[in-house]
Amino acid sequence: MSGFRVAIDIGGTFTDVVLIDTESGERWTGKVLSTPHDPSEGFFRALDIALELAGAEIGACRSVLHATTVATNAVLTRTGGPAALLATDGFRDVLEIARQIRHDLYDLRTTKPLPLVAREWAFGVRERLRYDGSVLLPLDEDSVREAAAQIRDSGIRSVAVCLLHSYVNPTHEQRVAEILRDEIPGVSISLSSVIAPETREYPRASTTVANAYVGPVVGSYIASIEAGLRDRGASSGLWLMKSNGGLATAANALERPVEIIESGPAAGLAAASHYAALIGSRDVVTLDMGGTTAKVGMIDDGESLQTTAWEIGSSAGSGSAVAHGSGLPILGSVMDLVEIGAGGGSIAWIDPGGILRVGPRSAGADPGPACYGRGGTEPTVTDANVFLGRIGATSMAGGRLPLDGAAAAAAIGRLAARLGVSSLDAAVAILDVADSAMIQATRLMTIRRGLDPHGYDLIAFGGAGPLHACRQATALGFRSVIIPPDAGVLSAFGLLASAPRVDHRVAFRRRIDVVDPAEVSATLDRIEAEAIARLPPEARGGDLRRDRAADIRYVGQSWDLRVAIPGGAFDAAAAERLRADFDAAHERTHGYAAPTALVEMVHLASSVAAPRPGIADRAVADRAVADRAVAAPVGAAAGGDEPARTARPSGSRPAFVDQGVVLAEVPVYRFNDLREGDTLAGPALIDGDDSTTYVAGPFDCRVGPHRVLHLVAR
Amino acid sequence: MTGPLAPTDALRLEIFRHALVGITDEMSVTLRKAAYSTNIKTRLDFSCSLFDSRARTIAQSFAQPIHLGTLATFVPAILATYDAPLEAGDAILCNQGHLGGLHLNDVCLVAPLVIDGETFGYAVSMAHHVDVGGGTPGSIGLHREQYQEGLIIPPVRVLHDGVIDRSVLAMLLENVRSPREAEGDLRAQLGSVSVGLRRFSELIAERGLPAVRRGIDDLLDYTHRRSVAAIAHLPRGTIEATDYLDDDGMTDEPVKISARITITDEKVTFDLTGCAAQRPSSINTTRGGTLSACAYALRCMIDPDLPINDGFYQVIDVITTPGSVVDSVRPAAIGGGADTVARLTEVALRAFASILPDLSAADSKGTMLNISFGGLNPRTGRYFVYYETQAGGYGGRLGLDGMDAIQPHTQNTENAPIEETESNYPVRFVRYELVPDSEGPGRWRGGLGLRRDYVFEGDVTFSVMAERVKFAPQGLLGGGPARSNHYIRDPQGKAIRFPSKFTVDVPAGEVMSIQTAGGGGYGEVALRDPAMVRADVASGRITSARAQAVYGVAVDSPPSAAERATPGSDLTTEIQS
Repeated sequence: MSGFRVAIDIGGTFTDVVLIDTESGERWTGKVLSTPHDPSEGFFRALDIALELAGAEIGACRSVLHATTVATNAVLTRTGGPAALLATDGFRDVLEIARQIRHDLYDLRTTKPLPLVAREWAFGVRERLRYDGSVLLPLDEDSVREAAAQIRDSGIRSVAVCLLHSYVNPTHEQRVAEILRDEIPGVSISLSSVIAPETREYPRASTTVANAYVGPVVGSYIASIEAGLRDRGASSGLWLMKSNGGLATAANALERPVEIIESGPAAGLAAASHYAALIGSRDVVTLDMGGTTAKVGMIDDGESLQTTAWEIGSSAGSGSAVAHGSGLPILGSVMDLVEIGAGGGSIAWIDPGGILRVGPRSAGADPGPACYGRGGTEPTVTDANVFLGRIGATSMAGGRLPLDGAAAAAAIGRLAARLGVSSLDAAVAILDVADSAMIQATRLMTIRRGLDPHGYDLIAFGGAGPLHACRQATALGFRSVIIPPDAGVLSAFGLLASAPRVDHRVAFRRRIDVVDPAEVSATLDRIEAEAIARLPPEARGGDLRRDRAADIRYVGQSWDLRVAIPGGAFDAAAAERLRADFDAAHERTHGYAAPTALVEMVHLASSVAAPRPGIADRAVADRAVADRAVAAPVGAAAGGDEPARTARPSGSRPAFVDQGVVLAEVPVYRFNDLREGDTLAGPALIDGDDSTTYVAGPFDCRVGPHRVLHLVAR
Repeated sequence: MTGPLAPTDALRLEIFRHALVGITDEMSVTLRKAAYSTNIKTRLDFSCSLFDSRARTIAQSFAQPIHLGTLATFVPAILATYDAPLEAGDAILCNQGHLGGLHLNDVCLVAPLVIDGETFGYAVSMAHHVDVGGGTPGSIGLHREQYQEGLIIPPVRVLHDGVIDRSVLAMLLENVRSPREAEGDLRAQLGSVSVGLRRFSELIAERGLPAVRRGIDDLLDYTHRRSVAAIAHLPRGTIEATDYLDDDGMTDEPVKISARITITDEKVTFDLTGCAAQRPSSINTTRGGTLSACAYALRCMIDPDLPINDGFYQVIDVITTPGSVVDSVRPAAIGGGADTVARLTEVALRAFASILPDLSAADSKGTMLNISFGGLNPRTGRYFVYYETQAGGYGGRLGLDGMDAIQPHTQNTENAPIEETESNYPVRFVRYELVPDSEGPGRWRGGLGLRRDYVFEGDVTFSVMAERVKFAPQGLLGGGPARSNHYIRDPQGKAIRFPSKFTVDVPAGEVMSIQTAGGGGYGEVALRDPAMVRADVASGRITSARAQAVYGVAVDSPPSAAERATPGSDLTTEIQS
């Protein structure tokens, strides 16, 4: 099965590409500046670079995989839609009222997040279900037709329907859909009982409306990418990364566009999971530091930690947790991340009290940091790294993005003058402030959840992650720092390591001591079948991974905990076991259990996933590359079967070393020269094509299998 | 104040501050996870802080702005009252609200950090316990004196040598309705302060005692300097504002709330001596609640990002008359004082608006709006009680309309979802929507109030503890007042209106309609862009009749979709009780 697979990840600053030869495992990577005005431009530029490097034709690509921010951006910039909402009469203001809270407590000019459907396009439909799903007021079909007529006349073709208690009884929503289809030709309908069949009307409506709102944008974006691929002669289908780390076909994504909203971060975690498995690390914290933000995630026993409650567009401040209520809630599985506004492009500034702050404002791709020489004048984290010698002038994007050290120095110098300190002190301080904000984020992910970082490895990636990882490890005591090869484009690589996956969850509120086990069993079977039906047809094979779970809480609690349910029939004994497992989980998570208290299930969940593709071993790939002497693929070193040796630096450059504010001549290694078994001691810099790793003074670095860098404090 | 910081020290202060706030955050997480009471776990009604040896606040973590001034008042008062040496492993317990809490439910725990026999500082946690005894389940009701509100705990040593004093605990648990929750919450508080002490000593071990001591001084100096710099932007002089609470719930007499604010170079002084004398009712508040209102208003005016520590509190002076509603003395009841805090906040903001109109907002709903009901649950045959607070409109701002349906200022709790509430309680909601035409008109209008209509499966007793029926939210700079709060029984039939504070028996099947006030308008209504008026009509926020009558804008479009889809609207009903 020869051929290529190509993966493209679009971020706020860079568009990354990885092309892999499926047989040899040989890969080529590239990085171009993103093109926010039309992301497909960056997509094809990146694709062309990778094809050219590999000397490959698009027709030889068996699949094109893509992580995109197009759905996110449509929401963040309110450029999706237009969409309408049909709700139960008397409750059409569900989006306007939202949670009735302010996300910024002390700003008298604060605003609520703007709903995705304007109030004039939110209609009441006369009908009412009771909490148990029984009908109090039958559906008044004329009230649906009245609303439909106005929607039709307005030209809106995307409609969300969210009726009260429809998660228990979807029949009214289904009938509304039939009427809308009759009345509005070409309408696209999102039903809350399909998109997010869960209790609590606001998050369910918000999710359903988001689906309706991003649908048109995602649809035209996918169409333009597919058309561009066809024009270039591609024969393969387009796959998209979903928020839950699973791949979807273009058709899947068009069906439920809301599921690709957190596409990019999911791809990064998928790659980190891949490397965690390769090196046999079960407990991992991930640090993905790109141009705009830093995201901290977690991999527990090979699986990235997910959550089902998050908000899109929530404001993230440097060093502070996300403000609840500042964004729009989206139900559905998504990677559990703490994201802060501290990336390479984050701008350093002086607050009214004279204190240096970094981020959350970013220089982005345009103009970018001062050192990009594209007109940026404000000093950024990347400028500080350049000024301090940690990033070399030709370190960025394999030298295709030459850096202007003088521009970086000038920007830092202006800041230093205002602070009344030397440029060196100012640059060091920028990194200190950015690092301390990230340490806070990492603390949130670990210590604040009761987890001790000493038992975890830190996998650092993204363009800036490998530069900043050692400081995290020193501050929090991580067991080791892991830098995967291609760390700078790891999210794109993650696409190649991913497989189709569907997470499905339904409301199922039953007290566990009186529940009918047969009903649990039947519901689990049903939702698993529904989940499988949502997989791409080619992924519905027999070797699916099938996970079942229930979300459970003590009666009276507001938060639930997910507890796995083993496969097979669910009987009375299983119910008892589930109860005991819940008590244990509660003890582990919250520090106590109440084995005599009443317990209720809130949701049942099914997750089905196709096996992840194997990726040919890197050592083989490296040899293949060396034999063919292809120009500049990543990892063009010799094979990995030689004994350990001390690596030789390719040179040195003056750089800032650890705590002392002193410049020293620091040895510089080329990542492409390193091979398995090599060791080197910090302080040292390792220049890769897409990122630079900073090995701090007290660390030793060993090149492990698959050319993963292991950094351990001496 | 020591001399200015060396620039390199200043550069590292942000990191030191993160470390301290990180400790209080961790204390909060510990408390929240281990607590039993809903108030703590989901309403986040608590505060965790670090203090130095001089009882100066150095870092705090809290989610409700009403706690902005509580611990800063409470902790120095507790330490002064206790007045005995504390040793490592000790902790003091206190809920004596007049020392600084909001009500007796706020139980405070103070533990010293002792290094080489010397007290270096304190870790403190205060949490709202669900019940501390007294005449009402939950301990917050309409009472004449504090003795009816629950057990009063003066500063007592509850922990000695790391061991809980069983007699103190027994005394406490014997006096509350939910001893299991009370003990669980207290142990959660002990866990929280012990995490705080541990992390605080780790920080000292890592950086050394002198460096931490200097760091604290630098941090407070920096905050103070930044606060003074922010005040420097305010015009010098004296400003004032006055408003009235409808009544105290016992008599019909309005309650005067008045603030005279003087801005000088280094201080902002809130003279509240014009406020009414304390009442034999629960509407009184404490020095702690009063400081929260003043600190909130000032913070909004100067720099929302200011670190919250003693350096900030130093610039605030609060002058009160002991025995007034804003500085009540025993035996005043204080359980409902949050409404007084809410109104004092608006009065202070109104005063600031006279000199800083660009930063200000017109009046908001201006009340906590407590709603509770209970009775026999026909689904279970057992008694049930339900409590919630409801949002209202926010005032208009320069260039911005007020927010619709929002919890303003010192209040910030989420609404209970319709579906969940109907599943858990024998109640059904008839409608939950914005109240059209409830806005205060203006160039930038106020936000709309919120309507929530309840119908019950069985007979219930229904209570409202609120405000702003007589005195509606006012506009600013020529903006108009908003529609006041309306509490209406059987809105489609007899339509009986109630005053601000009432309890009524409602039979099964009858509707209670709570329609909250909108926000006041900002600026002359004549200056409102007609396009915005038309947009409001199109979105159903105001009716075309009101657009014509109040804004002078004729909108001869057919009734909007919204108006047609809301049949039998009775939203403009105005009935005198």
